[in-house]
Amino acid sequence: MGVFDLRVGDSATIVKINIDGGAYERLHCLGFQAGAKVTVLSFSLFKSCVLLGVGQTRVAIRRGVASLIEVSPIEVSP
Amino acid sequence: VKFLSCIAKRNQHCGKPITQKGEGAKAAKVVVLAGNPNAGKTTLFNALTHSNLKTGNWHGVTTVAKQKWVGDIVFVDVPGMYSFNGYSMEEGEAARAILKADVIINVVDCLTLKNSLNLTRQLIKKNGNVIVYLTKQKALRNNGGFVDAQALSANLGVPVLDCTAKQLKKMLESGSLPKVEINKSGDLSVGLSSRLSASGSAGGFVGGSAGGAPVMSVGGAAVMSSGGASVMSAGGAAVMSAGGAAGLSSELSKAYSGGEATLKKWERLFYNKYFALLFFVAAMAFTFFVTFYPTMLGAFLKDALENLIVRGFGGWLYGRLQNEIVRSFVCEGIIAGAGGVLAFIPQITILYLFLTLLDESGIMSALSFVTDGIFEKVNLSGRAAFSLISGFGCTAAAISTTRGYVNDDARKRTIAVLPYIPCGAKLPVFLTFLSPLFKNPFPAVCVLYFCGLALSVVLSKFLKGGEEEMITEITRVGAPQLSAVKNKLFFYVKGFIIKVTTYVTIFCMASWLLSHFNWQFKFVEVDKSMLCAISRLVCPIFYPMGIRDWRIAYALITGFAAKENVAATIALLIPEGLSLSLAQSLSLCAFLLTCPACISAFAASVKEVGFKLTAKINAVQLALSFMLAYAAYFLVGLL
Repeated sequence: MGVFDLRVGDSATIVKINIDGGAYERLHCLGFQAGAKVTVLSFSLFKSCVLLGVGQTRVAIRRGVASLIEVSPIEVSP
Repeated sequence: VKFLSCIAKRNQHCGKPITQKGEGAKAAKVVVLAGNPNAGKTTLFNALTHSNLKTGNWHGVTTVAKQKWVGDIVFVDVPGMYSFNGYSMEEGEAARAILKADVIINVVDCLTLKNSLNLTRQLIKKNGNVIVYLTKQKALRNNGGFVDAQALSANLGVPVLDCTAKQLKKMLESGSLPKVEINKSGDLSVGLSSRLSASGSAGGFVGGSAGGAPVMSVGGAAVMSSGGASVMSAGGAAVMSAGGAAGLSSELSKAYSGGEATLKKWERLFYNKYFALLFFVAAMAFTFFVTFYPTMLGAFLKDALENLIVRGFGGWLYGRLQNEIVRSFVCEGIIAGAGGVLAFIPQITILYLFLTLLDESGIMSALSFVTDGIFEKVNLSGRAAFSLISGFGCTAAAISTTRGYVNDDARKRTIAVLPYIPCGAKLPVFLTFLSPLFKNPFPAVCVLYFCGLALSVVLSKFLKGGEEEMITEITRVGAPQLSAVKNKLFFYVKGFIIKVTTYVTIFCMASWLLSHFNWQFKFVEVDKSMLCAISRLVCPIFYPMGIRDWRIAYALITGFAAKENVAATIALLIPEGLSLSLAQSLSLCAFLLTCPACISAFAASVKEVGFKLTAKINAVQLALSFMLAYAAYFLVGLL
């Protein structure tokens, strides 16, 4: 599933990033790698953009690119 | 190896153009400040070189490399970068500047240190003389994290400093950097064994830099060539092979922890779309209230200052000066004109203070994320929010913020719509046009500013071209750093004062001369002057705005040099004060809001998108502003 399918507050593990070129490079440098844990912090107006937390870094990503980041949700134990 | 050391030499040679200061071709160290965006490079640069380059608490403030000499060191500030395989235009510029460096100071934000090491490794590969400088340690501590500079240094094999900028400067000047205790098991080090055999980069650095000689010693050069070897062989793939930042080793976790990663309560508020937008509108309205409302601080101080300069100082001079011509030149020309504009300092200061607080607290960064949805509808991205909000300060400065964009069409579009955001210099002019009619200009000014913002967003919808992507780091929301706010505010106000006392004053002198002499250079009434004769020729284009007074027409034209000129010229030529009808006043405001920006914004735009496109944009804009102003006069006249 993609990051846009998550809700605010949800965490997930990155499975695969289906992008190459400059956009991949940028994501890689920001800590987006297979196995890394991401948390959805917020969505922007009209849900154009998602704010993801990766470690200490907060990254805003547009729907187009974000949908290419495959994740598997982490179940939160109650 | 010979070939590679040749490359190393050539690289040194490449640095020559930077290192030469005029004809005095003295050997110098080129020290480049490199690092991720928003790590604090420019702040450090300003501290090291006593400069006043623009800083800000968001990613991508610096867009062009800047250099400054201090003694025999050339400090170079470059835009932030994540890697050498640049994604945006500014990253490429940073990479080019780094190739010419003798010493690289890798500025690292403690909070995002883990990601930054990616670039640190690449930098060490390119050039052995890397010093890691840690910033935002207080923020890290507040976040519950820690960093052990020594342990980190042992791991990386380069000095890691957590000292003040002053101490760093001393070290650079004397060349006495702390010795690096290299940890051989350090899994973070890059090509360490080869660097050790080449006499050690740290030792080479300290030895070579003593006495201000070039930093690169023989040992250092060898370091560089061997470091270069791995880059050469791996090519672009070197970036990937450097190892993932996510794979946090046990070695690193002993040296560093980022602390709590969850959002604080107030941060969650500012990332909430409704709250953030509401907060922005309320904060703007509040600022305008304090600035423009007659009984509030801004307007009160303005009146006091105006009394002091124009009536107090001007009146005092008026009594002293005997010669009629000199008296008119000094009192009506310079003091009433330029001095009158100077009286707007309190209001401009308050307006800019608000912008600076938005920026330094990180709220502007949060806003750029939240408002992305609006900008997406007009084919821009949230990054445009930075540019547009910066436009409230100075259009020319805002134009250069577009360099961080990935899409070229989006850049051009933003530059085309930026002049609709009223810059700080337009403030005195709006008040000049509105105050004859409104006892309280506060509501009208609010409407004008929000109209400008709306106009720029809506207009970019009509400009064709590709869409802007958005992969941007968003900074933390927190209390602004007061020293940064103070420095920026002081610098901005100083700039305004300098501009008014030089540029605008000279303009006032010229206007006074032209308006008080006729073609035979005889001192005459304003209505018989050269300026009157010239201005009457162009005045007809302002007739449909209800403007038949050539003095207002001339004032509007002087605005293309600098907007402050409009207010200064009106004060100079119309000492009795403007008397306008509602239709005239609104028509003038519409014209001023939409007309092309000043000459420095034009120059900034030429630099970014070329003369041809800039001229085209400005021509269309001018035609549009006349049409709008005509329409405003006609429509309001119908009421």
